[in-house]
Amino acid sequence: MSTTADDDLAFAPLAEVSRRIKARELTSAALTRLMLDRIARLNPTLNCFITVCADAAMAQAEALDRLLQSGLDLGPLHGVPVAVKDNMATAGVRTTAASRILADWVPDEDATVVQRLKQAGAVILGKTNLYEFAYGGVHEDYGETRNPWNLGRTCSASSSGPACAVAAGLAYASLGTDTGGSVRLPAAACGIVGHKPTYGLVSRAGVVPAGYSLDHVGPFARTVRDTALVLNAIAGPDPRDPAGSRRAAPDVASDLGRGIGGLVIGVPKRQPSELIDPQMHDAFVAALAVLEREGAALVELTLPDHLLSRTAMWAISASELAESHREYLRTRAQDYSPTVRGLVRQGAFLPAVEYVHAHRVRQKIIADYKAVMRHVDVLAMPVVPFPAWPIGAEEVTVANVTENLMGSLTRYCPPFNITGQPAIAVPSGFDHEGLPLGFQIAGRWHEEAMVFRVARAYEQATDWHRRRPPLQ
Amino acid sequence: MTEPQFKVTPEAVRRYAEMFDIPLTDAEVAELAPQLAGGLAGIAALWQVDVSAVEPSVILPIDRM
Repeated sequence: MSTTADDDLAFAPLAEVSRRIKARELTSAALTRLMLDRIARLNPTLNCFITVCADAAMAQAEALDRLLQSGLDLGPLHGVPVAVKDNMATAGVRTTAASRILADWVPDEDATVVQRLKQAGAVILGKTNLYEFAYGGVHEDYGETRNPWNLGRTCSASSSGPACAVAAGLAYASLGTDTGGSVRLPAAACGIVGHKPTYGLVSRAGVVPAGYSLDHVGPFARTVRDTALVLNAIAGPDPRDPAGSRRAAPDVASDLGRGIGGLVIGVPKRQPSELIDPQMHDAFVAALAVLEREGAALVELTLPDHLLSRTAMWAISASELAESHREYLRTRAQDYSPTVRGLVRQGAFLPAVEYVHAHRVRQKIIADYKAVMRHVDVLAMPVVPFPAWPIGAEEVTVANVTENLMGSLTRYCPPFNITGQPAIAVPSGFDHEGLPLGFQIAGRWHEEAMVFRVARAYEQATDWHRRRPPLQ
Repeated sequence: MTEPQFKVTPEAVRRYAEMFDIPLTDAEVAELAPQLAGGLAGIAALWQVDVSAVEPSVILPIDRM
């Protein structure tokens, strides 16, 4: 039976539990036990963990407590329980990518991001659920992750498990991957913060690829500061990632309190193809008013067609996915879910000419965004057109127009996978049914600190991040 | 640029799959053809973009952005 005090602790910010661990008010072992108890109680309903590493997590927590007692402090994540998406390799722990094909794969070494979490003192609670291979749909062997705000709704795609775990108070932070929005979309659906870093800032080594040139690893947490602390731990050059940046990682947590007075925020004009739920739109407009009240200047501007980015993203990611799955497609096609099998096959049929052309279009889109970003400090725009959808739905009706759900879902996120710019999704309220709403802030390449600073100013002026889902 | 007119028929899908050693049953061919037609119809629109003097880069030159 949980108590109010336990719930308060489970939903406390990462930065606060970190401070209390260092002040010897809490032990990592007690905190880890609390999380494991909550996972045991709530995961059968939420289905956000595929593998729980209970014994290893407790052993790690106890070792970290001893380390702290001996005077060695590994930093803000020391002793803090976190979770990682199950497409990130973990030495000795199976890594399924929520697929039947990799159901029994036990890697020999950790992905770089997992190594870095451990080096920073984080306790790895387990591996969280996702769309099969982080692409397209749920595999029946793993099932849908349920939204803690409404158990009949999804947690969006594809990093459903890591977002759910944080939103439900089963971890203080988690890692997901974002190829076309898969960190930002579930963050918005679950009412938490999710960050897609500048391409190459965070290593993808040891992460099962979805689309090589579009894949990003990014953190989830319940506050902007907590998200920044996790990014600080995982970012930075990695010789194992050939596409990685060689720049030193920025300290994104140190600049959070500067406010946004005098900053210029670009707000894209609505595009002809753009359909957005009225409540989502109203929440976005209200968020802009908050940013303006905090001292930023809003400037309306024209962005390249979002649908162009989405189409280029599909041509590139489907081709890259099909290449990495070629052998499975020939030998284990029946082990895919029908949705992902169909998507991989479509990628296998795309001629190289289309793939190369999509990359040329990508460079054109990047050039257009560079021109826009010369005039603004960040962009603010919706992250998703509608709140979390009912489990099993394949279509969605937005503003009286019914569309394919996946097509409609990926409208606002792909531009920043195409360009590689940093973008952060933050909670911006709730709809009439109590479902979370969100919007995103995108910045110039390598300017994560600016993106976090604006997100933090918005968060400080609102209280959406303090609300908790109605879990029993 | 002129948009290509992709013609995706079950027979074309079957022949392509055979040519590139992609195992497909008749039922899978029937299922894939309309999916592929939809995807390629979207891609055709990319040919409306003027990419003169633009070179592709499969890995983003992220430190030179």
